[in-house]
Amino acid sequence: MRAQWRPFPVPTAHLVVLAVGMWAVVTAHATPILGWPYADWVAVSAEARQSLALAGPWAAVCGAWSAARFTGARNVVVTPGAARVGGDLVTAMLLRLSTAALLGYAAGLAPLLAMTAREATTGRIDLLVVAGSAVCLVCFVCGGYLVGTVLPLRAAPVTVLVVAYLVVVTADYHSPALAAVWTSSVAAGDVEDPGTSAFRILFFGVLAACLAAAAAFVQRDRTLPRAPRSWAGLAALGVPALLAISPIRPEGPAIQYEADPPRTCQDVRGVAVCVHTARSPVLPEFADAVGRVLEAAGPLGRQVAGVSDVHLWDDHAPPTHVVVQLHPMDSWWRTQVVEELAVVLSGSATCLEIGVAMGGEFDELSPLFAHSAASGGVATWIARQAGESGEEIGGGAEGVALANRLGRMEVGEVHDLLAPVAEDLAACRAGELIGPG
Amino acid sequence: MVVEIRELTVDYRRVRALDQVSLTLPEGVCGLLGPNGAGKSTLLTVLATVGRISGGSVAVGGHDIATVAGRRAARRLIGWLPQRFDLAGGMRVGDAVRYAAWANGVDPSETRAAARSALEVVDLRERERDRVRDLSGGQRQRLGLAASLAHSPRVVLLDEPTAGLDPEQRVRFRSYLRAVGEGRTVLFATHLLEDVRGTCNDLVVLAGGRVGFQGAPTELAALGEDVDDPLESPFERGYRRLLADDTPPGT
Repeated sequence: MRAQWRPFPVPTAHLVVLAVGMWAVVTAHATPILGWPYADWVAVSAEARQSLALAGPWAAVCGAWSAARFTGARNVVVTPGAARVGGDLVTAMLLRLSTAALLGYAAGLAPLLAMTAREATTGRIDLLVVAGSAVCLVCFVCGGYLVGTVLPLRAAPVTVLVVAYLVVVTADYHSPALAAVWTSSVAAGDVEDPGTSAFRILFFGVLAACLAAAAAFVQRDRTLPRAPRSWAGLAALGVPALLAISPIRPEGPAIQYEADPPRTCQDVRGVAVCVHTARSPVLPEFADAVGRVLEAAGPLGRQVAGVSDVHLWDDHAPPTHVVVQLHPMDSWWRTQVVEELAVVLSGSATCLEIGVAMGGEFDELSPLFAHSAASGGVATWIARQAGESGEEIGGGAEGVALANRLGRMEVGEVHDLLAPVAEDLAACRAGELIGPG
Repeated sequence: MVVEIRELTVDYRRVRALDQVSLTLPEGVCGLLGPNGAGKSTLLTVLATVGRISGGSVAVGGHDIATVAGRRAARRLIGWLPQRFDLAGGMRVGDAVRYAAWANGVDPSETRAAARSALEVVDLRERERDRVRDLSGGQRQRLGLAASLAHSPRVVLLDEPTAGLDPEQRVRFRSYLRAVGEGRTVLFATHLLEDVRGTCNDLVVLAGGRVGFQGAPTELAALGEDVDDPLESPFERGYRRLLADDTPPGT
């Protein structure tokens, strides 16, 4: 135990600050997932990567600070000619810095992993994704360390913070296989490509090793009386660059829908309401929201045979099967389900598709304008009847006027009014509903 | 001999910083004198194995520093205090010296004893638990000296260690140097004559990248005895005469 309190190669206090800071940023990033109404192994596995948005820059800054503090060219504690300078010093420092970073990182993710292990209804942790993220974290430590070896203490941490932030926000535009953090979110029903995950482990592993080697070369450059060795440092960084452009880098989509996902269903007014089994804890609320819409929609709902979570997408499903986005992690997800379903049942979604196909080239005199307003008005009325405001549904002033007019009628009267035009509404050609009567 | 330099030449682009320098340094404190730009720091940097050699050879403890193995072996024998250096202000004094000991190859379990021993030499043992930032300028310089001594080197290279110190601090620092020189070879670069007069057993004067003089302080003083200048001591007169003379008297 006594060895842990030695001031070298990195003082214990520095390692504690690194680990505690890492725990704090990872916890801060992961805490929203702890509040989700269901446990999702896919999202939690991906969180190991996504938390690098904060954890990566922190690890890099700590690496840079330690390197600049102890390996600077003018540091009398580690003079350039000191016996351990170079590979020995780099290895010893990076081992400890990386271990501290990984411990803090693991501690930050631990509550999320424990909660998911306890409550998840299906799936398991994606070890390839988590391993790739951990190796990427080590890369941040090594990258920061290299910059700290080159730049003085006053400049290194700030420079590293800026560079790490740019790495986090821009890398995904090139390739997910090379990106520290992805812009796409993943959840139950998605599958991360194992080839991409495996490549990430290889790529970040090689990159970390080469960054460490480059740092060792730079330190040794200061000590060699003859041939300059800075080329060796640059050459070391060429290895991961070659790997990044090599043909073994996966080119296909990094995220795909799960093949044959497990589903859990509930019957609502004769309609099968289904979610991915991972989301089964929210099925009762989802079914309740669907039930309210079907009741409000009356005759418009009779054309629906099934409603399901988008992650159960089936290309061969009949048109009577409605797919809705389900984001139970958002507090307004029930409102979203009601409004999305209302938009589909009223034909508003069809109008939108037609409008997009026309490139948005229509004005108030266009029939599509009246059709859209009619469908939008009906959708708003359905949402209001289902207990929501319907404010997010389009349709313009005419649509809102129609919804208000329908709102002043008895529900049965509205259903009688809609029944004969149900097919027209669904096809976005019920513009006649907009009018004085 | 611990340090043997043969026809050492160092070129920086078109400038010859050291020209055919040959020296043998025995045990004891050797003062390295010379005006600014004479090549003192260049010589120390080469001896510390971090400067480039254009020609000639350098052996420390019998190890040729031009070879990887020789350099590796020589580094364990060398302690180096650069002219300008940084210290982590937040570190404790004892920890800084322990770190230096470890970085210079001391076994981790022996660093505490090594640090205490080095701090003892520079009279900072009682400040072991203090933060570096709380030390005065003179104490920081002594701490730097302790860091360079932490691995018990046989050769200690000090590049203008008294620069920036007030007269009282310089006097104290010189007294520590005498203690450091016991059983070691200390090469002590300075441009202040008073630093070397009572401290060094041996003197080397560099001028224009060449050795102008090597010998005892009394020999340098003898060069100035026949010059009439009541404002300067024979030692100072000898030094000035040496620098003014186009044909140095040699060693």
